[in-house]
Amino acid sequence: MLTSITEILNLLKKYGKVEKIHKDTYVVEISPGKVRELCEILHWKLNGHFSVTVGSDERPVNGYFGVYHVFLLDKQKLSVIVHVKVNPVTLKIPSITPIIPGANWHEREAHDFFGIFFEEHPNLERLILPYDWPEGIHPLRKDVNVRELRYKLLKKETGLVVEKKAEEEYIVPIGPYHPALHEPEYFELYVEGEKIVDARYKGFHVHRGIEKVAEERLTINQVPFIAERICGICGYTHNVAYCQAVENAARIDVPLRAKYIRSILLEIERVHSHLLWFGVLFHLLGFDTGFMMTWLVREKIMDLAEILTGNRKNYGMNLVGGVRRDINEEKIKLSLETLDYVEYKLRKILDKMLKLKEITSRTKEIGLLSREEARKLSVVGPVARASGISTDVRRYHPYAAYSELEFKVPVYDAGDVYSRALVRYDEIFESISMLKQLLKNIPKGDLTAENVKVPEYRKGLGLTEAPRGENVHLVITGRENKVYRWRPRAPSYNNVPSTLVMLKGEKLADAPAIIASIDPCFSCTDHVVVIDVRTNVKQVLRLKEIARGK
Amino acid sequence: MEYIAIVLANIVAILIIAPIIDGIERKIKAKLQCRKGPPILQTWYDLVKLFRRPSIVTEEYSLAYVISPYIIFANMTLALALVPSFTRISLSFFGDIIVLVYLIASSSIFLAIGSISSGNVFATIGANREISLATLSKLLMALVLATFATLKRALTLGSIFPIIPPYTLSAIISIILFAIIAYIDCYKLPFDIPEAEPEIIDGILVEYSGKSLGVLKYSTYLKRILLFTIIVDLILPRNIPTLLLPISYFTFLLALSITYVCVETYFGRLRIDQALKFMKTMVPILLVVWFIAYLHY
Amino acid sequence: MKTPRIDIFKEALKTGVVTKKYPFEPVEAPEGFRGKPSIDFEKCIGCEACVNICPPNALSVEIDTKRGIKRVMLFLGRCIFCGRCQDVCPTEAIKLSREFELSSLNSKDLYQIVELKMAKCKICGRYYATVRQILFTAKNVPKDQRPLLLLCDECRSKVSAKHISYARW
Ligand code: SF4
Ligand code: SF4
Repeated sequence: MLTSITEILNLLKKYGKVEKIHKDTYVVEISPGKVRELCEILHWKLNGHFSVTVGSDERPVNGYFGVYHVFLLDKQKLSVIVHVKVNPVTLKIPSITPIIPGANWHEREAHDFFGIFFEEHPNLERLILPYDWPEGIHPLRKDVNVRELRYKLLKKETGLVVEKKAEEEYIVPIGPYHPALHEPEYFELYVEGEKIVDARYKGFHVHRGIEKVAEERLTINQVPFIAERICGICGYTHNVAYCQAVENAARIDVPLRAKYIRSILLEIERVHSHLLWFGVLFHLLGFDTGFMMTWLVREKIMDLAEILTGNRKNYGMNLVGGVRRDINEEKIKLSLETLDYVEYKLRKILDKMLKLKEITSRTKEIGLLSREEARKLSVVGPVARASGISTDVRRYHPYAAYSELEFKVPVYDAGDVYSRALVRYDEIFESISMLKQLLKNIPKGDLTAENVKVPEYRKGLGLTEAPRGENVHLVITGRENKVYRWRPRAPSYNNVPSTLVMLKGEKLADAPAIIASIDPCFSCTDHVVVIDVRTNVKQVLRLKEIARGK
Repeated sequence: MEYIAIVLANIVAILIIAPIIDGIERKIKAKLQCRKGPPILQTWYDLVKLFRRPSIVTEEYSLAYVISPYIIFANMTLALALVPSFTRISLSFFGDIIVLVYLIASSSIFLAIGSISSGNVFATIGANREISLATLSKLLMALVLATFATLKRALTLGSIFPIIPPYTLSAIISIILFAIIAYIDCYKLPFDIPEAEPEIIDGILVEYSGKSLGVLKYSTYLKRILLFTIIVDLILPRNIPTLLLPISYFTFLLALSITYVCVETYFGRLRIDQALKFMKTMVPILLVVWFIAYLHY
Repeated sequence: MKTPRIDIFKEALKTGVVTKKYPFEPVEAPEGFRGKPSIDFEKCIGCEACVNICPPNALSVEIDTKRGIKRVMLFLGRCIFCGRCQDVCPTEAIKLSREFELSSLNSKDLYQIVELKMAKCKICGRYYATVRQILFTAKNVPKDQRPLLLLCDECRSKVSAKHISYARW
């Protein structure tokens, strides 16, 4: 077993040119033929995990399309990016899905957006583009102009109308709108009585085309604000991830005080996000009092965020190179008081609520995800930690001020809804303790780096641990103060496919809690959209086209 | 003639207070959840709003779907005429206890049939759950009422009420069991399974709207009052002066509903199989109690 | 199994009612809240700094070349309340307030438009900058160079190429 960094680098060098892009992050450029072999080594042999696949149209720069498979090696604290140049004529490279099933969606997305064919992919169908999207238009290619495209699509008259077929099986549609899920997505549950025999998922209803907007229209320092709007709950983590990616690419040193402030806000965000999750879980289990009372505590955190940043949710605190607002003594004092109150309250109520019989009997041994399945699908965050995988970006790939903190990474083995709740429960208190350390030890200093200059065509990887798991942003900087390619990958993107595994064999009544147990954030997953097309699709029942997530 | 008028007045009074009691429950629940909560008349406002709206029917609806809300409402009103409430006077005849059980049970069945015939998947699942719950809870209810009848050796509600005194063990246990069954039958948490909002989008109610939804909701409130009334009748002593009766009845009613809502607020929802398991454990207890009551004479 | 329930019950009673009758009862945003931005019509000089920085294009500019009027427009419907405009405005004309209730039945209420008079270039006669902008810049420019401010960019560079090249102001 290879462990040391030099050994791994030597191994990588055998496969192709290795380039260090920034601290602990290496790009290895290899020929398409060797992709599978290397990916297998990285994911399975070295016990790293597959994180994201990024497609990129680099024809204007070097004449090729690019595919980047990002792997994080937690033990060695390394990030390895496998870069494959794709011939722009044949557009073919081998798929890695047969080895790492978790890459399924990622490759299909690259297929949708760049037209890259992944050979031997089990199911290379449309994932993100709507069913009536014209063939051969790949919206993230650099030669696709949004205005022209929009004009073309609006003129098009008929969409593909999928006829509603006679129902042979008993299908329970959960979504696109369903009270249990506060975002539009579509689950189809096949049930026998109350038992779920199969499940399918179709998401990506809320594409917003953020990547295209950022690449075409925004400047480097405007992107953080749109990055923050990727998610309606944990937006700040995207904001930080993006800024870190650019800072890494441009080798900008962020002052320590700014790093501390970022960490403080990230942890505040985690606490409120986890509390929100608990509220939702209790509501789904019919325990509305729990919902009200956790949100009551959460509200204190929201107020705190409002005082520190000027807004409850969209903190708007980051620019590339630092933060925009300082935290003064008075605010530190206030934050510590609030945290004490929150901790006291939560210790009083939250574990009591988790002990209630209806709650335990409806979460324990429900929605099981084994460690193997979790590794296969490369799930992240609390979902992975509840299935016995110790992964946490804060610990293994430290960013912001996390290297200076003491904290535990809670790991549970049961892999059920209850252990996912326990992971989050522990994390709330870990976060509160981290916040106290941060607030007490915040150093003096500047808020932004001096001299922020971003050179062109540099790659940077920004990692953060969002409340829902690891969040990855890959940025390639462009000319004229723009980003050339920006691919944010929200944690739910890796987690959602695992719900289909969890749902099988469970009771219908438990479906909402299971789906919610990964804390899905469908809009984050759907970050990448395209254009609002008036589709005529009435009801989609063509099974082949629905994401299988396998 | 006077007799009928009194019964009618009784029913009208209950029709008026039923939504108010629900409003009070909502207010209390809100307070227990640290909320301000809606005004007490909110349930009435909601109902009035629903009655003003037309009902929208599904494509695949049938007659049962349209009329079942009204049948249930009629059933409940009739059942309310059978039990003494503000006054001691009620429609009373030999075997009215059986009619009561029949009215309560049939409304569950009508509800299930109605929602199944709406053709909605969620409604069907809700109806399935309703039927499995209702069969068991109606069986339990029949058993308790049988125990009461055995205790008093009578088949008229008038002679059964009140069940205590005498303070026999079987009487007290059966009253407690009845209270639990009434709790389940009111679809209070953790037993609001057929209407679980986050799971199956209000289940049986999903396809009802406007007037028919209003009528259905109204009948739910009436059913709650009916069950409460039976409990009150079971324990309200006979020697209370007639003038004080309305006040004491109302106080008891309120006390019951407050107790129930306090309990409800701190429960989550059970899954259907868990609920059924819980109810099944009650069957042997009831049989034993009945047997004791039989021997007791 | 009963105890946790009773504990929660006690805790709820202790907390008391926390919700507010919000629309009927005012709620104050804290200090430093990033609410509705507003432009001070007296202070704005029409320099467009805010227009360039605004991420969602809530601010835009329109120049009426015939009448010599520059319009700086703020459309609150697009604003994301980031406060970048406030950061860059040289005259503190645009500021974020603590106001957050912006809904209105009239979409016109969401617009703030500043109209500024423009000056003509002394040489080519083209409208090139607002009068206020020129006055504002003049404060920071040595007296002898001020006449150059009356020229548009192109003419100025021609003129200054003839003379000495001045430091950029
Ligand atoms: S606050 Fe932000 S979005 Fe709003 S006008 Fe200013 S810069 Fe634009
Ligand atoms: S508001 Fe400020 S920044 Fe914007 S145009 Fe006016 S003066 Fe310039």
